Amino acid sequence: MSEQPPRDDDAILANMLREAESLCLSQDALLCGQYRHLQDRIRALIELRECFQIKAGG
Amino acid sequence: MSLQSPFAASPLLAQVAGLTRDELERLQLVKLRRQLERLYVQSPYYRARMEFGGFKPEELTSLAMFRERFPTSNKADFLADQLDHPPFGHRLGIAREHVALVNMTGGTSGQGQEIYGRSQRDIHMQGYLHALPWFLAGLRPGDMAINCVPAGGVTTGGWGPGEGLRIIGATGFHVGGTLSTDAKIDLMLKLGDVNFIYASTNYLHTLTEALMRRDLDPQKVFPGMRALFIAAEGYPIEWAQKIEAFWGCGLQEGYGSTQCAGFGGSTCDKGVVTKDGKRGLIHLFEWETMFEIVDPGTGEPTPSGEVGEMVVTNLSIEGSAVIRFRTGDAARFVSHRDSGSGWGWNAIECGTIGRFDDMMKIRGNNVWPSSIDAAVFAHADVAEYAGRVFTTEDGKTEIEVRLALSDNAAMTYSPEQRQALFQSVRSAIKERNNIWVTLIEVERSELPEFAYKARRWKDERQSGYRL
Repeated sequence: MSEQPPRDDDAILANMLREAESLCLSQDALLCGQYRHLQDRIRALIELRECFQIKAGG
Repeated sequence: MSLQSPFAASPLLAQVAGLTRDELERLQLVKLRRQLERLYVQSPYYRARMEFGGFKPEELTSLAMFRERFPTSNKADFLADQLDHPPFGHRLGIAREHVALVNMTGGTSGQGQEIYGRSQRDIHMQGYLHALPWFLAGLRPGDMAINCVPAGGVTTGGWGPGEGLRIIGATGFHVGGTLSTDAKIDLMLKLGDVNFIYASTNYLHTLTEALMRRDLDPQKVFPGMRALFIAAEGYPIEWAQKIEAFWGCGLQEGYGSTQCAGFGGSTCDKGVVTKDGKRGLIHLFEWETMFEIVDPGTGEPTPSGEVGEMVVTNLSIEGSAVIRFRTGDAARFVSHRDSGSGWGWNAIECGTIGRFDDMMKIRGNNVWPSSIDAAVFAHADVAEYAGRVFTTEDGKTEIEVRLALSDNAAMTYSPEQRQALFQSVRSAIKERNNIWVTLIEVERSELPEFAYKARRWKDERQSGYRL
């Protein structure tokens, strides 16, 4: 059985934020508010994980 | 199968539990500087306060400097700001079009309602600041939860719990204010496998009274109950012990407010009563919200063990963030060194949080309603009470307490038992508050039921002086 690489939730969230920021450029007025909702949820998740960086000397 | 400890179940929680005090304060400073940099640009209200303190955010080198140089705000400051710059005031700090949720304070102070504009990101944070203490208390994804606090409306207490239950992945029944107490119990009986209840202290008392009246044993009818979570009001230790024994699960408490955007701390998984029968501690989530506990007269930090005023700074909220806000909440401060938790988080004593502006000066004594609550409800056969302070025709201050017995006691107590109980209640009030009161027994139906924060006291002394 191959060994799983360690999860890097911070990197996953950073990628998701970049993708969500792209979605926010949408010209669809019905969807752009929902994309912003998604983007801000990701921002909140990134921020509430910040304590990991302090321990790591960040 | 026993529930895994929240710290074992969440690496994130293990991380914050493992932060030293120095690491925690370093994190606070990083977040605070970022918050102030943003507000300096986007909030004329807070920029003016930084200019008054003579510093720019990038010049902030320590938390001590922040406390020395940044002026506090209070409710009157916020109301004046709103009046000058409606509707949100210059403290809003985000673009108006990014406000996705409007919250207001309850207005129970009579001074006016503060208005708060929250972004989409803040809505998640408000949910998180409810989910965090509830996860610590034992709530897990997939659980069934009963929220007895009225949902919706304009308050943070109306919106935060729903978001908290959703983001944790629990199934929430928001029955506060919409179903009668008996209807709530009927619903819970249908559900059966209820795991968690959130209620005001007062409402948990009402719910427990109703179960007793219906001769229902919660340990049999709700065997999956993991935690009862209360907020908003003080209570005696004896009451908490009886609640835990009756329900057969832990009782946890949180300290929260609109200014904290949810809960600023909780008893975590440690309970409101310690193993040796003392009051537990509310451990403060200081990596999300910064707390100072200060002498309300001098503004100086309160020593560990003393009562002071809670001063709040949001580190993780962007819309209508509060910076050094004087809450008027009175709490006994316990330093992280004295908390016995092994964590770097400071704490406050649970079950005794009062309001400086609720304090009544009666015959030279500082009397808090929460302190009288503790004295009265230490007697299990008391169901509810209401008090008033008034001036007699000859100018004397009198205190009257109308008190209702529980249904069972009202039916079965002899005159001698009534007299003994009343004497005990009077003595307990005197012991805690140094005042003698006049007690009058009334029917339970003559006193109100409170769905959220109880308002049991009326100060009618001013009207006694009208000519």
